[in-house]
Amino acid sequence: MEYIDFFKDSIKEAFEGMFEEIITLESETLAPGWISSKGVAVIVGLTGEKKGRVLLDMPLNTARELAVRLDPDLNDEDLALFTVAEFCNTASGGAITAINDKSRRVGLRLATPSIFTGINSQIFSPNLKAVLLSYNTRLGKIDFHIGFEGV
Amino acid sequence: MSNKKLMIVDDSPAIHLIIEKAARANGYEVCAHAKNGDEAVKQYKLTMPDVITMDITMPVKDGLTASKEILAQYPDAKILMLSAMGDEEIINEARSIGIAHFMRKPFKGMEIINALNNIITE
Repeated sequence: MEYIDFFKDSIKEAFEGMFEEIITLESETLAPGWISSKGVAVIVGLTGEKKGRVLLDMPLNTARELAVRLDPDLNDEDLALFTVAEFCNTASGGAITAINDKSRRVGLRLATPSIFTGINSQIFSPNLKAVLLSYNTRLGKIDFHIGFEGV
Repeated sequence: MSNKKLMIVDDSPAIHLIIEKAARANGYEVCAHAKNGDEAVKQYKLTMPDVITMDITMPVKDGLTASKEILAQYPDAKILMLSAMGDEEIINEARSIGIAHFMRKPFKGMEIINALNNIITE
């Protein structure tokens, strides 16, 4: 996918900037249409000349660990969910900022994040070609599914 | 010197908590919280903060629209725009409505405080 390197750079910058932890890309593959969630899924819609979405998926325990890493007072489940939503928003925003600066005609914008919980929840995104970026961190595995219509 | 009054506008409770902790520890009084731009416009009139941290992407009313409405009524309002996005078009739009201060996410609490201190002493 044309834009995937912008997302890789921004995910690393957002994760390391927010949580002061190392994040390592383990694999990059074509994403399956159906996604079975690890426990917490955040979806950020992308609008503009192209339409798409970023889906972040991780176990609830990882979300909790990350939230406390960001601030020890972020120690309940709701705040953990909002923390990972903010991470997804920040990573997505950084990527589309770089894309917009490179190609102004694209004019991408972020929608507000939606948060879903439940292990093995099934998520299906029709009409999207998505890339799955699987990351390893000290606090658990994190997946990003990044897809655009017709790309 | 009395504490400076801060209003925090963001749809993420996590961001409210982080900014509020840093602000309180550095002599600010958080006089209002708003989770969207509509609440921000209403809260501004009620609490008249010395400075605002304003997210851009929020439900109901975004931060640029809310800032435009606040600045139309209160041209001296001091706003620090915080956003995950910072492309040239957004920064130009912010400048065109009178916002001079912009900070990209992710940020640390002390970075916010330093920026707020600079805005207030201008």
